[in-house]
Amino acid sequence: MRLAVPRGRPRAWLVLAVACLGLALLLTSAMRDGLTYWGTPSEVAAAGPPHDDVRLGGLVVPGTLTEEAAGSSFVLTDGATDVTVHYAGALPATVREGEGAVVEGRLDGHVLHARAVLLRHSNEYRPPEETP
Amino acid sequence: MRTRPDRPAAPGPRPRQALTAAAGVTTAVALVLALVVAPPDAVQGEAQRWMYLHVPAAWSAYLCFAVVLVACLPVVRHDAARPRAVARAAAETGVALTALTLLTGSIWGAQTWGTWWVWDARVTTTVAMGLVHVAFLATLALATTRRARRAAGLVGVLGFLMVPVVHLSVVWWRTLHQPPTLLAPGAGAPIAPVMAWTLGVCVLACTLLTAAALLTRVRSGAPHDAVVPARPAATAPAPRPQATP
Repeated sequence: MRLAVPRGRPRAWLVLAVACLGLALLLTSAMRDGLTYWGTPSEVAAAGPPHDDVRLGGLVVPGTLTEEAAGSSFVLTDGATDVTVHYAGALPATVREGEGAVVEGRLDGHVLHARAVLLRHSNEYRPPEETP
Repeated sequence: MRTRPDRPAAPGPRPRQALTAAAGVTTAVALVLALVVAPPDAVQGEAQRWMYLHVPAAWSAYLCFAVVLVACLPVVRHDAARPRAVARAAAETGVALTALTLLTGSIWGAQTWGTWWVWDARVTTTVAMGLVHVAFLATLALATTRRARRAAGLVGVLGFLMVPVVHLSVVWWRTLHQPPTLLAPGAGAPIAPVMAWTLGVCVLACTLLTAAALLTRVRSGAPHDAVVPARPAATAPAPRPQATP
């Protein structure tokens, strides 16, 4: 299938227009929402009750992760404030205790009903430890 | 003198062949190291091997845009024709490598982060870096006067500003992307020596491949100049943008 792509100067103008439009969209969205992808539990708690969904980042507290078919939960911390995260269903395999996670959802006091749970892995790389 | 058509546009076949051979050998070694010798990561498992393509691609894209910067300086000063051909080839290669970086990052992210795409600062600025250079290529293709070509060169020079923004985006803003491990401001993060070596060889292989691709592109693209209105079928070198929202 061949699309009727303009050639020569019209194509160069089209490419320039698309690139500039894309840059303008990125810039306006960055100005509107900022480039900070997530807030810490303390920051979000200090900001008062949120109207919309929030995105929180922190560490999964070891020993708090429970996974069941009906729903999973864990405690996310930034060291000062803890938030209990509830997620309907099984967590992605990449979410682990002691690792970073970013969760997106509705915050209700210190409980977050997550729509999405993402792993935020560290910048350390090492082979798996030998098990004797 | 600068535009004499019979003058070779880049180093002759012998240095170029040597470069291509070196790139081929290094790539073969890099593949064995990345796929066989290096261990899987303790946390991320086999998915971490994407690093050996993702990081070299990103580094090579930075390098291409640095070449654009240097080559555009004489273009801005006196509309130099040969540096302009180099800048165009470097921008094209850089845009392709930016697309490869986003593609490998997306697959790696799907396997470890749990998502194919997020508009965090690293991803957003990387898309912007690619778009700026797509705009540069389009501006260059449209420039038919000396004045316009010098202005296009200015876009190429200023476009390099995106490189430090992309690299430091993970330090300046909170992102889903992790901070740098090796080219980090201050102390980097621990990485197992075998993984660091593998990454080093992969970066070298990608750099050599990029240099070979760039030279080939300069040679093949040198005779072409701006797309003139009189020849509608002339080649417009600007590639399609790779990643728009």
